[in-house]
Amino acid sequence: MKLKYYSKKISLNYNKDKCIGCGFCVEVCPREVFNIFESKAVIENKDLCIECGACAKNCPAKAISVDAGVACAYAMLTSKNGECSCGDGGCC
Amino acid sequence: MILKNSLQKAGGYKKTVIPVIQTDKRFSKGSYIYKNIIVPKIRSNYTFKDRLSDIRVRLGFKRMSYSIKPGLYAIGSPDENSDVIVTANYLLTINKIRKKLTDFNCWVIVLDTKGVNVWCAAGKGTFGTNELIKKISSSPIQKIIKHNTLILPQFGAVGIDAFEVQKKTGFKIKYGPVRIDDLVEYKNNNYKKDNKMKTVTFNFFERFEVTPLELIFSTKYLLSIIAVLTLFGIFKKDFQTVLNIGFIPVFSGVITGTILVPLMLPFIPFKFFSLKGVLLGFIVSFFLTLLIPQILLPLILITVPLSGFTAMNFTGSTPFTNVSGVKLEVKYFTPVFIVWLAAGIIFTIYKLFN
Repeated sequence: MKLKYYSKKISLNYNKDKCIGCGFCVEVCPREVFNIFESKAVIENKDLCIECGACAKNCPAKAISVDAGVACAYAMLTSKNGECSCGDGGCC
Repeated sequence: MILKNSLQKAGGYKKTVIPVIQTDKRFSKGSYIYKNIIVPKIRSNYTFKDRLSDIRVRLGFKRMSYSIKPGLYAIGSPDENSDVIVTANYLLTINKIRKKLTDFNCWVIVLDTKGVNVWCAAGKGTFGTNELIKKISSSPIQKIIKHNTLILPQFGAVGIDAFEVQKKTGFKIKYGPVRIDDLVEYKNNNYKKDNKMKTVTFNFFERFEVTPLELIFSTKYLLSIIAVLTLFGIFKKDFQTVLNIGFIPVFSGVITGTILVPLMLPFIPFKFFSLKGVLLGFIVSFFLTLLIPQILLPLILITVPLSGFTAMNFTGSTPFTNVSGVKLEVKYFTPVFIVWLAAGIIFTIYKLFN
């Protein structure tokens, strides 16, 4: 059972023309958003995306873009740009 | 010697003749010598004392002081063909590695994530491309192994640009399983991940594991409220009222939002955690009112928003909330909760003095 969250504003964007079919997006995604179909990546479950940014970071063709960040209310409340301060004497 | 240079950079050992390996006796046991290079060993057995340490970390007691020193380590008796895994210097992770790799031989590169776990560190950049490149360059790993593959935990991908690491160091990154539990099977499966190895779960026990920290963290903030309420009680010599309109609403709100909501998470309606907290807050208030009818109003004004707010803060402890959704929650619900709680506080103060 895949746990679901509010997903109407997911910022994930993918340009199929740039894709070279390396499969890294499938490899790194913790939510199984991507799959490979006919040598190109396809977005199968956009509503499961957590905007972690692993796919965009590891795409050699820069075909993926996303407004990545930390989905943590505490980080958003305590820092200007929603950055996590765990380990800097911060929350954790 | 590379190790000596890296020690000099790390600890300022300017006049060392014999390299001093700073091993943390909790995690490492002695040194491993391979190709004339000395590498500290990670003790690959998990004792009862380690289990107690894990529980202490989960309870938030001196979490950060348990981090292991970053650098290169050996597990078992690795050789030039053994796997090289990369991890964070977070105690729970290191202990997990020791528990699961008891009969395994490999090299371990521990990145400096300041005592934070892989997922969070990757999200904030400390389990990052630059840190990995730095650790590869400053360790003797290139002199030790014949191959050029590094196995990273899947969650590390959030902070690592695999192609950049390859360009700068020549090392290829393989994103291994989500959990270290599956590493041996992953290797036996010819380094291919099956569904189980790729799946991120958040079942009841996993939610239970992260709950104590939420409660303890909230309690730190609550102590000031408890102190003020106690002073009122002493001043007015009326502990019953303080209990009914102060302690009970505050505690029930926090317990609902930090324990009940996380434990029952998938079964509570609504997607937003704030709403889950509000709903459960109302339900808990209903049952408490059956026991103590006169506290209905304080419960609605204090328990429900506290439950909603603490539940909203649980978003950072889950592997399935997304950034834009949490941003929305924080933007719209925080002001609501602040106003709501302010009303509750004003009401409480009014009732205490009348």
